[in-house]
Amino acid sequence: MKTKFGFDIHDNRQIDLDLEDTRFADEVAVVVKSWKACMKCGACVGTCPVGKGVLNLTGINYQPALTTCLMCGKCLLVCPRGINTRHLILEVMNKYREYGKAV
Amino acid sequence: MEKLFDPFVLLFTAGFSVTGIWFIYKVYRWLAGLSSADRSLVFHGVFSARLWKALIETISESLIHRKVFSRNPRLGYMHMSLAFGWFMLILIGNIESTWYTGDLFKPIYVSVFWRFFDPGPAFPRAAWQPGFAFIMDLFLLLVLSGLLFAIVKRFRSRLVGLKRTTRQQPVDRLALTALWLIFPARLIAESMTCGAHGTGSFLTGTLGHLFSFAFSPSPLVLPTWWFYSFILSSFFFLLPFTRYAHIPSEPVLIFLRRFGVRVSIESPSFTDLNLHACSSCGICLDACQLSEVMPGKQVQSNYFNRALRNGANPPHQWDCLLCGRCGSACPVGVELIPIRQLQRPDTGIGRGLQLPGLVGKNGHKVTILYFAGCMTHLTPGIISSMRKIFDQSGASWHFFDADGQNCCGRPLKLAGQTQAASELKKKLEQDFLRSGAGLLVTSCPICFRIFNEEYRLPGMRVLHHSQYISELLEWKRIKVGPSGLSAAYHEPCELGRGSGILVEPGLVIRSLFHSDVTPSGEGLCCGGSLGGVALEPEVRKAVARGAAEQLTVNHPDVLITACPLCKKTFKPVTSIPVQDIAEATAHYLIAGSSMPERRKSTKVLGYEINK
Ligand code: SF4
Ligand code: SF4
Ligand code: SF4
Ligand code: SF4
Repeated sequence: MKTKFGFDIHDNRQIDLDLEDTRFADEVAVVVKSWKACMKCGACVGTCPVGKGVLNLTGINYQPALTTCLMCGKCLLVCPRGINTRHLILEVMNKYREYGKAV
Repeated sequence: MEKLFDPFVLLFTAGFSVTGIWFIYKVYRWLAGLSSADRSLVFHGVFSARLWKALIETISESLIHRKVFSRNPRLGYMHMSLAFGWFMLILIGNIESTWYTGDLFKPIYVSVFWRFFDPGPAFPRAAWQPGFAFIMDLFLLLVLSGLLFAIVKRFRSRLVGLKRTTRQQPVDRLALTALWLIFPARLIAESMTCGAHGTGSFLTGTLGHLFSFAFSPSPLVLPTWWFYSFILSSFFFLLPFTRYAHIPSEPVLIFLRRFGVRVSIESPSFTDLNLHACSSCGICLDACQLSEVMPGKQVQSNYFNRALRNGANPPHQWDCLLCGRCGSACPVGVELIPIRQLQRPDTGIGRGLQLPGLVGKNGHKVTILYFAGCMTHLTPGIISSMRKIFDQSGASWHFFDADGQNCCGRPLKLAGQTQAASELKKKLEQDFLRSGAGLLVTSCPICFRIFNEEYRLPGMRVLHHSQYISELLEWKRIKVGPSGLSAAYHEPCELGRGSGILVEPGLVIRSLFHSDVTPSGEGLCCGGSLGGVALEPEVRKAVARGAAEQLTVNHPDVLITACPLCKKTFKPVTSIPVQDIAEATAHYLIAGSSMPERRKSTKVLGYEINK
């Protein structure tokens, strides 16, 4: 899945809103309200026993690594912003399944 | 003999046929939808003593409602008087009509409307009439008194011991109205008849007498029986589509359950039977802590069951903590938690997992494997306490998941990812067995539950650390000094209610603190449960706050729990220190006390130190 959900940043640090597409992110946020509070601190990734960056910090995005999540909930416990990461992962997967885009 | 027929019976007969045909069809579907293994259980059950046990349970639960009684006598009386009273009216009405007609195979309506056909001593053997009339009046009175409770419950549920009652859907209300009208309608019809003939006992006779003072009852006899027949008919027409479907379904559930059938993917019809047996009694509403913190949201199991029964998507099913409190409160014994788990779809998460660092990890042989679990790695106090306890007891142990990279699979399962969970399970089973250990100790009740229930580990005992500590204390491998403090114990759902580990934590706590802690299996949920996938952290916190308040009403010096997740959940919401049972033990360990009784311990704990 190549589409990025969100905007892109070019190498010259110019923000490219032409590429902006937040539909997916907005849809997920309807279900998991807390996720927009993420400040990309990385605690969730740091604690994850799978350790391959299951959670993508550049925005929610479908990535193959999501399918390796153990649902263990450690990320949820460490998140300083109280984000329900576990639900987020499940929801992203569900949405992709709905759209028939899952691997 | 008069002709035992009048056109008004046709109404009842039509309605009753709808229920009858529906029920026969349903029983066929329930049996046909079982897996072949379950069907053979049923087949063997029919020819065993379990049949009689099921019969006894049917009488004590479906009629007497013993479990509801033990929860709340007033509510129990309401259920009992309606069910048992009605049953006895049917039974004795049948006996009476058979006694007079001598015909066992008469149409059902004859006994239902018997008082119409036999208002007084019209039949031979009439000397018995007053006796029958008295008994019938007695049971009618019982039912009517239950009805009074039911009406009170609708408007003032607290008076019958319920804080909340189920919000009914329109068709249920309609059926409820019919049900409420059945018995007053019967009373009036019978009293009219008795008034017209000067018969009847203390209830129908007296009322009939009063009627005949005021007016002439004779012309009203037939209309009131028409009305009674109409009400009965409406109720039976509606029954299959309402919660009253539980009346015929519950006994079927009791029998199949006694024969050993359980909710599973392979037997979907058994889930359907469970759903139909739910009476929407609403007892699970008060058991659910989410009723308090998510008012108005219909998370609870009665709504869940109803939605599934109607083929709808159960509301808020991902908010449910799967704490099991509703399941253990349910008087019908609906397998709520297994049904809920099966409803969570497998989306394929965890399937892509390449388990890191598992293979070849445990080359060396040890006697005890220690599995901390993901959560315990976030509360390292528990791990260091376990180290201390293991070392002090002189055990030869190995820290299986020292790198914190293993998961037991239960969180995946709670999130519906059954396939991935079972793959994970297979891999871990192999690794455990390869270690050659005889004992697996875990600090996490979530891991403990799946190890205990689902892992196949021949030759290996599985213990939660509270059990392990309790054994160490019993065999004097370790010794603890009394703390002189008071404590309250929070029973983790997965350990207490979920796995039935109640005695051991109590023993350990009583040896440390001077509080008389006796776990009951009815503990509250801390709110941190991994079952509540969609629950946002604030809601979890609200659950935790409520639970902590209740647990600390007596102002204990410390709140003890036996789960890293409960510990972490409670910590921010109470000013009383929260400790894991292992931490408390390690804290009050008396040094140099280990191993006075080595010989026995070898067998009990699977140690091989002295060989
Ligand atoms: S729930 Fe998934 S993403 Fe979060 S820590 Fe566990 S494995 Fe990693
Ligand atoms: S821990 Fe929470 S705030 Fe930090 S990156 Fe992860 S989700 Fe975002
Ligand atoms: S699930 Fe059990 S407790 Fe809840 S309404 Fe149904 S029968 Fe009553
Ligand atoms: S399992 Fe717990 S949270 Fe879920 S409905 Fe039952 S009592 Fe409520």
